[in-house]
Order: sequence, then C-alpha cells, then structure tokens
Amino acid sequence: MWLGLRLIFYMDYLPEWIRVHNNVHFINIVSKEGDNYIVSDSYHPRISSISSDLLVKARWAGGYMAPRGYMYYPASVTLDPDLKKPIINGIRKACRNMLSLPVPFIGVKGIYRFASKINSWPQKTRDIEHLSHEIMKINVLLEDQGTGGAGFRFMYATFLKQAAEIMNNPTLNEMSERIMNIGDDWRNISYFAAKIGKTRDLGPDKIKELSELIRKQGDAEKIFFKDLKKFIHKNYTLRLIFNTNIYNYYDAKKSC
Amino acid sequence: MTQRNRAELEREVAELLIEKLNITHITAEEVDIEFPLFSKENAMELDSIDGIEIVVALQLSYGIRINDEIPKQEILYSVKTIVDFLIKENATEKLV
Repeated sequence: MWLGLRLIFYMDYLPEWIRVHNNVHFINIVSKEGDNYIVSDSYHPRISSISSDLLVKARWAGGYMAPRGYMYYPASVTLDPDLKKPIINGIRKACRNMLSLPVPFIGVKGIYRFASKINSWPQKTRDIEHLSHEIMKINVLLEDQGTGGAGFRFMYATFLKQAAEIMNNPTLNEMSERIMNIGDDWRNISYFAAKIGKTRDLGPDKIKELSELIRKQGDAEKIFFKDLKKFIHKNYTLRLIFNTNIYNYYDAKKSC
Repeated sequence: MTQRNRAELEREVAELLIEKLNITHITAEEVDIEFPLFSKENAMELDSIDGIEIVVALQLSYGIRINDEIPKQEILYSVKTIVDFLIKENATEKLV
C-alpha cells in the first residue's frame, strides 16, 4: 500500500524539535503491522512506525490548511512514461514560480523581501533570546524543513542531471552544477545563521551581513532561473511553435 | 580499509564532533558509534543547529560534499554511518 498523508506534529518517531503544528507535511504509508502503520517519512532516515490512534489524530488535526482526513494514492501507474514533455513543462513552471509570480513572498522576490525584513528583526524582537531563536529558525527552515534551502537546490540539481540524460542535452548538466553551487551557498548561510544565533553574536553588523548574504543569493537565483528559462525557450519552446515533433528534431540535431 | 584503520577513523570523527560542537560533558571514547546521533537518548544532546555544524565540519575537514544523492539524515544517522559515507567517498584523510 502507498498513501500520502498530510501532517507532522503527531509523528512521535521524529525528534521533538522537528514536531511542530504544521499541516504541510506528507508521509508514505508502506504497510501495517498489528495496530501500527509502517511509514516512510522524508524527515526521518529510517522506516518507522506510528500507532493508528496517532495517525487518526494527525489526519483530522485542525488549524490552517487542516488535512481533513485526505489521503492520496496512485490510481494507476504508467510503466514506461515519456518524460520529455513533463520535464520541459516542469522546468518552465519552476522558472515562472521563481521569477514571475505576482506575489511578493514567493521565489526571488520572496528572497529579496526576506533579506530586507531581517534588518528590522532586532527592533521587533522582545530580547536577545527571542532574536537568537528566530535567527536559528532560519537554519531549521533552510536545512530541515521548508523549501528554501540547500536541500531543495540539491534535489533540483539531481533532477536537472537526470533531465540532461533523458533529454540528451549536456547544457542541463551545467545547469545542474550551477544550482548545486547555489545550494552550497544556502548551506553557508544556514551555518552562519546557526552560528550567530547559537553564540548570541547578534549585533547590527552580523544581522546586516546575514541580510546581505541572503540578498546575494537572490541575485544568484535570479540569474540562474533567467538563464534556465532562456535555455528552455530557445531550445524547446520556439521549436514547439515551428515544429510539433521537437524531441525527434532535437535528438536528430544532436546526433548529427 | 582495515578494521584498525576504520576504528581510527571512527575515533577521529567522534573527536571532530566533540571539538566542533564544544561538547564538554562526554569524551570521544564515550561516544557510541552506532547510537543514533539525534536520538533523544543520545548523551551528546544534539539538535538541528548541531546538524548543520556537523555537515560543514565534515565538508571542510574531509573535502566532501553532502548533497541530495544520499539524504543528509541518512549520513548523519550515527558516527558509523558518517564513517561509511567517508569510506564510500574515498575521503578518509583529514585535510584540516
């Protein structure tokens, strides 16, 4: 059995510092043993188990974006899918999400906004303890939870590497290496935030330095996704307009 | 890698963790190499913040890159899994 469920707080196999009330986490149910479900969770390195009581609580948890008992499972699986079209569509969508969504807190705009907002945190927090917790939370959200940090850049780099092979296009390999380097820089930011938060070294110069590091990441991601968008547009979208069988066209051109 | 060398590497990694995380209440010899690092019962009492410090310390000390190909949580499961990863990456010599 394979199911996707949305929950987090009740996952008692996770360390306490990960277990927050947040209705945006998915796990896979692998099987059932007695009254326990065997689960595979991306936050946990091993297959774990959870009691059916806790699972019921998690599935029917309240709050914002409450899961309302939803479960997801594949209705059918195509054994040999043609991945080329979904790859191009997926890259195009990622570029749009990162560059063009008209929402100030998503994508590159969100990175710039975050970089700017951090500067005002010292004025808004209760005391140094509160500020240090907020700063260390950047590390938790970049490294362990959320989609903003190194881990998701590395995942995207792996996707581009596999895409390069499927599309038979080495440029995607170069793109993979570039986003991998951007991931390294996010990890350095995460480390910097963890370090200044833990040592309570939170003077205005350090906060400004952190803000500047994040702003530079915004610049790097903007350039990267613009280049990726340009690459896809030039190599696939234009051909889609002038030649409906673009993949064969591209493969034929590569083999010449 | 011989059994002895592996034991040395395990000791070296345990020492690195103790040093980089400023752990003073236990010594490298007392670290159980198979015990989950981020378990509530682990005497090192590590948290997420320590996780990133371990990743950066390993990357700088052994010249490796911990990315998505093997999940970070899997590599940092215990000292033993860290050593398995270093051996797999052929990065058993400490650079700094």
